[in-house]
Amino acid sequence: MKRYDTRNSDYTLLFGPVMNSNGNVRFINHSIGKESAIGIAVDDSEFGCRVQQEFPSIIADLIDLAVAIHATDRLTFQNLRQEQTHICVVLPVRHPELLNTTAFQDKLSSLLEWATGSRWLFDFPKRLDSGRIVEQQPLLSSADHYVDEVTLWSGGLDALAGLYTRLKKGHEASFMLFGTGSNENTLARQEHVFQKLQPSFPNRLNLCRVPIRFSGSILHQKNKISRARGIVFILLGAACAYLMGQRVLHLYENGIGAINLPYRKSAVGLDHSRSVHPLTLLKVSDIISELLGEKFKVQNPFLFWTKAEMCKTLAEDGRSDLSPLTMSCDSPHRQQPIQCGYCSSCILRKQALTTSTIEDKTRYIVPHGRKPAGDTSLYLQHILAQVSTLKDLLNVSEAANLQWASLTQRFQELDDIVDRTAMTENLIPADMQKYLIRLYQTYVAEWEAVKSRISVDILNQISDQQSSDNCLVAVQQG
Amino acid sequence: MPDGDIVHNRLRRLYQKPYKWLCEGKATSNECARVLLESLKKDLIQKGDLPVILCQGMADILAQSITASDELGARDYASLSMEFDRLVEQADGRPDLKKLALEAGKSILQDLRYNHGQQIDVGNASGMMMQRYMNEVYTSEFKERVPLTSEHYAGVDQATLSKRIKEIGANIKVGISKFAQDVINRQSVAKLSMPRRSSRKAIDLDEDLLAG
Repeated sequence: MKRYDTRNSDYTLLFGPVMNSNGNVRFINHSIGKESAIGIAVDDSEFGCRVQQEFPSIIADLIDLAVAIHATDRLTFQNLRQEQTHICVVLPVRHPELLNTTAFQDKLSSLLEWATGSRWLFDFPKRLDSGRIVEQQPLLSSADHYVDEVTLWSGGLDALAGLYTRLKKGHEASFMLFGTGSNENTLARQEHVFQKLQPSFPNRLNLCRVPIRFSGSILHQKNKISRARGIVFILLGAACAYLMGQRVLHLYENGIGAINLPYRKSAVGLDHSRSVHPLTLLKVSDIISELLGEKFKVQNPFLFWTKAEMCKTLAEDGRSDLSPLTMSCDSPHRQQPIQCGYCSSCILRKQALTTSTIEDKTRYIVPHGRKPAGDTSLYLQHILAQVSTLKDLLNVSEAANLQWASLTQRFQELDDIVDRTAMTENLIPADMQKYLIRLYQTYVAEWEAVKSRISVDILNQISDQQSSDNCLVAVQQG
Repeated sequence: MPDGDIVHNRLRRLYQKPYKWLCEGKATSNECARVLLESLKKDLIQKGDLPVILCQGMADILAQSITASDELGARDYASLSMEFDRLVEQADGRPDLKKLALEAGKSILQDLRYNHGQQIDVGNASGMMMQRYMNEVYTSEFKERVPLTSEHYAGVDQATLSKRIKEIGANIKVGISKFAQDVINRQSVAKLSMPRRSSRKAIDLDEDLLAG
């Protein structure tokens, strides 16, 4: 019986069973009355490396759910300043009795609305086939696969710096790095950084990747500001952690980036991503726990660290060879240099490397490539406006309680973060407030020290642009 | 993580006129404020009644909570904040408007929690939230959306423009207060009216005030 109702939906996605190959989704865009079929597949063969003897079918469902969210997020669009987009997702699963419960569905819809702004409605009919290959292969020996910590591995600088710090602090601990994505360059980068790091930490690092691949979607326009990316990554990472016998998934992200406060009031809500926001981690942990029927936690041990602080151990060991291998850019280019050097992520990367005195050997479009046409100072100006705001708010008093009241008067979500996550961080609220105050104070101080050095490339670019414009005018006049 | 963050550095067409007036510096501060309030009024009407409904809902939740308890503690504020989130999440509408209304509601909670200078009249929480919502719209659409550039329209510099924006602040506040009162009276933004023009004019010392 058809239980889902597409009458109020803007999009409906009818998934076939998620397969290793030849899976598909029927994508219906109700607003233009268009229907198309798109191939989707997940390569989870590397989950053969695990400690669980049998592949738990609920974990297979978790993987399917992540794939479905990924595909939906990439294929549908939500303009944050227009009416809410309604999305209906139909996905066959092995455990409809668990995924169709009101408690699970409410939590899932709430999480996705929080992260994407859209309204998601799910229906999970019974999956009737025998599942993917990895589900049918019992493990022969699990003795070699034990790891102490499973962490997300994006190929970014925070992931590298966080891992390096953890490796140096926990001298014996072994790590499973989990990566995913649809982009071959991203997957290759994850592998490359891992390979370069491994000789320094023999027998302590493992890499597991689960790529998701589209086919027959070239003509289909993709949503470039996919706001559920972090959730997909975490759900698949949680599957990896569970298969490795862990009940905690780690991710390494600096606190400034994780909380990602708006730069100015002109940024409203999801203009700034909530990919690994502390409340996102809380909500995802809750959903995974609900599905597994046991406590599962997604944890960011670097919530109170700036990006520069995360890079400190790399700097102390003189590992300036590693950071250029990583990627931070929000809008990477196809040709070298790949990273733009002026988006918010590139600017924070430059700030962190400069502050931590790591020589930045990364090649950026600004300043190393051909100068782009648009205003490259936009993000820098906004970041600096935020730094100025934070400085004013923190300078209101020396007393922590007054600093906190001042910070939260402007950024009320900080109160929500403390109120809702202090317990999971094993902190009393007053201490968590102090840690967050220290985080922002450190960030402001770091910027004060390196602002001129970070700005110089970008502002030179503008003055060069102005000079070339002046030349052009002169030529035209001549 | 900053992951494709969107920044806005261009005013919408609706706010171009007040921006240009402020940059040109020919009109008085009162005139600039008035033309800005006209734009804000149109914007609020376009944005519709969803924020009104949400502000009313949040005010009701707050009033019930205060009735039930003499003094609210940190846990009460945390739980109220979650109730506000749930209310807003359940509403079907533009994500940005839901967020602006939510910010308005939570700013009242924040004032109550930390005793910020302004006294909160809980009996009029709905009106105060409406004012906060309108102020959020003004700030996000104009005040903090003015481009971050060293040179503005008509060659005016950033410091001068900021000073002029600051000067119209009091008039904007009065206008927003009037708009919020209209909403409370009619439960809708559909018929907002502009505040009366200041009737005070310079007194002509030669004028016979008793004449006529």
